[in-house]
Amino acid sequence: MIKHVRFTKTHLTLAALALAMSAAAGSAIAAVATATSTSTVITPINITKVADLAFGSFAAGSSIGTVTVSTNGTRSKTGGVTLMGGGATAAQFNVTGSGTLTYSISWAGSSTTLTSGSDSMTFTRIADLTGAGATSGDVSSGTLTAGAQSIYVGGVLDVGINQAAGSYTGTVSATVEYN
Amino acid sequence: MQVRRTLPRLSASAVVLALCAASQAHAQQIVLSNTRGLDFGRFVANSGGTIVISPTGVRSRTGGVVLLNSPTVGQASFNVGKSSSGGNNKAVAISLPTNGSTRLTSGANSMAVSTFVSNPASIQTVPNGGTTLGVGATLTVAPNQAPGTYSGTFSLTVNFQ
Repeated sequence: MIKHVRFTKTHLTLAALALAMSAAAGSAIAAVATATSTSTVITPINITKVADLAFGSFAAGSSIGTVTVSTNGTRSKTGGVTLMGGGATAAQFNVTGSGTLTYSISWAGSSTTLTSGSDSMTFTRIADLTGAGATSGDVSSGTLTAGAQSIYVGGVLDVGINQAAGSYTGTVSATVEYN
Repeated sequence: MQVRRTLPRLSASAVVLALCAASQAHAQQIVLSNTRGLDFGRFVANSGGTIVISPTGVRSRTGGVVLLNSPTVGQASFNVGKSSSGGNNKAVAISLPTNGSTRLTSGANSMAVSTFVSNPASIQTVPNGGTTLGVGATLTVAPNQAPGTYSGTFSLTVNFQ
């Protein structure tokens, strides 16, 4: 009877010992830590031309003058120029992108003169982001609102004395990039 | 008879206690904690490509991906420490996630994170006060990857050798 009791106790102790050893093997070797990883994919920025810049028709005079088209398309003149038929419009570019991101505007490739054959007139750009009728000034950056913004472009033409008649053209080129 | 029964029981208990003590000391020899996440930052996908964050936090790209200004970009950081009770003169092996095991998701969209790299690649000995481990990886971006904020998790395992 006593012998039986002794056997049971020893058996239980050995079982506990085996458990302790397996716990040591499982928990002691490695340590693990978890990290988060994140990234944000942004909607591409895009620009499209909605309207061209047009100065309409006018006649040069015997003294120099200017024709100005504001950023809302309002036309005015100085000097010897006589304004004629309408059709003056400001250019409009629509920019689309992501949320409220900011972006830069570069005008590389834009004409500094309008030409007709070998004749030319100096062109000075006017630009704003509101189309509020600015007659001077320029923009080099913008901020999207709900992923959109427009850029409005007018300009000033320097008209020479008896500037040669013709259809003068040039290019306004806007490039936008996220900051 | 009473004496003969008691003595073996006591000595066996002592052995178990000693083993438990050894187990606890061993388990505390190495301590690993995450101190910052892996951030690939903001970008435009365009025609797709990859974004690589080096284990020192330098971001680069391949393909049509355009990187945008992202002040929070950086590698994941882990602190590898040791308890005062051990860990001396033991090399540490670093197990990084395998390729195909980690994806960043945004709703139904996802991107794979692969080619995990750590700096240092292995640790000869853990100095007193611990050491910092940087982890970078490569994010694969599909053409026109859907815009959104993507996130995921990965685990780092370190072993004493």
